[in-house]
Amino acid sequence: MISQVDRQLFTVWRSRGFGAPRAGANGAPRIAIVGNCQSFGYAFGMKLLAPEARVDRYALVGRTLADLKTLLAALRTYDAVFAQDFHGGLLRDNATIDDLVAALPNVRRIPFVSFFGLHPDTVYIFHPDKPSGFFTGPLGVYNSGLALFGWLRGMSVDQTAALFDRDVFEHLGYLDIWDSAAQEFLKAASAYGYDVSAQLARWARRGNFMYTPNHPKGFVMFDMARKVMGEAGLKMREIEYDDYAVDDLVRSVVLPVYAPLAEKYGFRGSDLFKKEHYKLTKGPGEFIRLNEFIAQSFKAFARHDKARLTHARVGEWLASEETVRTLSACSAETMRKQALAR
Amino acid sequence: MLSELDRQLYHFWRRRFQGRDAGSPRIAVVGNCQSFGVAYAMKTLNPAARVDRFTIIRKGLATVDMLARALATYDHVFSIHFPKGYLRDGGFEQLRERLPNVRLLPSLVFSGYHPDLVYILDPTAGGRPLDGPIGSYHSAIALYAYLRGMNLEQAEALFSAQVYDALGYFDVWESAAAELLGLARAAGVDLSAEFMRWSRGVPFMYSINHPKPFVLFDLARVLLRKAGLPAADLPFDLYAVDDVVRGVVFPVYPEIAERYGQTGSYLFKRAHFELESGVGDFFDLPGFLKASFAAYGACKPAQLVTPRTQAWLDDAETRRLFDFHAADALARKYAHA
Repeated sequence: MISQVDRQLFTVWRSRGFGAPRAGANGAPRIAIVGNCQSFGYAFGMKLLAPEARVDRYALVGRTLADLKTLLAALRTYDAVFAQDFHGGLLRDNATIDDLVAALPNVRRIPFVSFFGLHPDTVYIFHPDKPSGFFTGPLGVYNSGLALFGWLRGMSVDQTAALFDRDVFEHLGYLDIWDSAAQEFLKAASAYGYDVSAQLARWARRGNFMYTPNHPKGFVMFDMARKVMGEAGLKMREIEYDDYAVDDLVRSVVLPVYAPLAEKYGFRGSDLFKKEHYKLTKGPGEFIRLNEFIAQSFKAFARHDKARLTHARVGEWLASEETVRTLSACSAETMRKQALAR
Repeated sequence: MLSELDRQLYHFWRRRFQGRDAGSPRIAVVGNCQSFGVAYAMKTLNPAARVDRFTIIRKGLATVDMLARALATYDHVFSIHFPKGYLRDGGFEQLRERLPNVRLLPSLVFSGYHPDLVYILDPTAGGRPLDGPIGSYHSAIALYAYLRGMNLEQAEALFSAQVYDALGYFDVWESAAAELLGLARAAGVDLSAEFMRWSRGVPFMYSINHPKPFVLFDLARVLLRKAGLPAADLPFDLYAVDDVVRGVVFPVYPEIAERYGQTGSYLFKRAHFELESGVGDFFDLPGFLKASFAAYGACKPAQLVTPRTQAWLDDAETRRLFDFHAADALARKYAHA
């Protein structure tokens, strides 16, 4: 199967007639970005900040036909190469970011924006039988810890939905996760030599800045692009991102920030899950509410042996009598209140 | 050649026969490039609804009857008032005869941020919009400069506050607002409160007829409520899919933006829909002018006609004004060089 990187390599070689890539206008730099789903945001941000530059994106999101040698041959023709980490299962020869850096020492490693503070209930469920290693539910790899807990405990959809409540969030520590999520993100960025604390503070002031724990909003990627370009000494212009806000990642899954958490951060929450939908010409896409998400998750869980659906955190909850009792009590209390209010 | 509408009708009947069109109420949005934003917002505000979009952008094989038969299966239909020429045998009026309950969907146009943007309706091709470097949007000043025989340097010198002031570009807000609100009112929708809110923030238009998605979101909410349909109280920013920004972005010139307390730029974004195949391209002002002049150079003079540029060319005082400002700006530029 031809991957995005394969197509990009073909396009680049074809456009330059197998010679050196054309520089941008007035000798502006040629920039390449190697990365995952965030690479569009980095590349678009860089193009917006330096419109005269040639900016090409090499998206490593699936297994490619290209090997490291082929990729290197293309990347060597750029003035600046930025790369996010990638593991061994993507390029044909299983090369990793370390191999790329060893072969191309001036490549600049750039951070992956990952922030769990707004979606603490989102979990990746490992599944030994899946080729990717992950169980996929109604929203792909994004699953809910509480939904998995409810399923493994034999709760109904309504009982599980009643767990999405302030008291439960408080008990599980969801309302106190911000600081550790922020530290984790800042530490990860600083490992690549970037201090993005000012950026994080600015994003937080805007309210919600992530669609999922690993899909930032467009303005976040724009700020990241500005940061890494600035550190690389590349010339940039002042520009208002909101006036050109092309956002690739919003076409994928959007997870809600639940009301108890959103209220704590000072913005409005929701319980609406957006499914991924890339072909906008084919319609507006689909959304599901919390109950439907749980119902669809249960259906997906039901296709697997319970023992094969494991997650460390959910396992700890299930192993703790106090947690099981508290969550069950909270669920029952919420349902009681709902019944009285009807 | 199949149009988007033809394909949408095909997919509509296929889904229907396969029983894959669940959701209630059933809402159809018939519109132009703004229809995705409206349909998407209606879906966001009412996730249980079935929302389908039918685009009236270019002529295809569909007839009024084919569209009406599909639309008759919906509980609510919102449609722009589109002229004849897109369907094979009629326009909106013929559709309304078949579907008396169709509700009007206003098409939003606002030129307050982009007073220099013009279409060149080619008189030699029956008024078809002529394409330049960023599609059918052109700069009136660039076209004038080309027709006046100016070079690129002179043309660029015309993009200044003095010229905008002389041309009345700083005074269009009121009339543009009246036009926008009037168009909405003609469709039975009062957007005055929304307009006040939009005006307070960053420019709310990418071009004169491409609103930012929050504008279409507000419009969708007003339409849903007017139709007696539920509309969730939802922050749009959480789910802000923006189709229109993949098209052209015509900049708000800095001198104009400044009047509205904004920054602005001279960065012209070209249309780029396939995000997988790159980040797209931009022109700065010199690049845009160069590409515009090249496009005009490939045309016959009889094609390059707009009422505005013709009026400027016909008026000795305006010609003198342009000539003066071009020369003055260059004189100052070289004096400082």
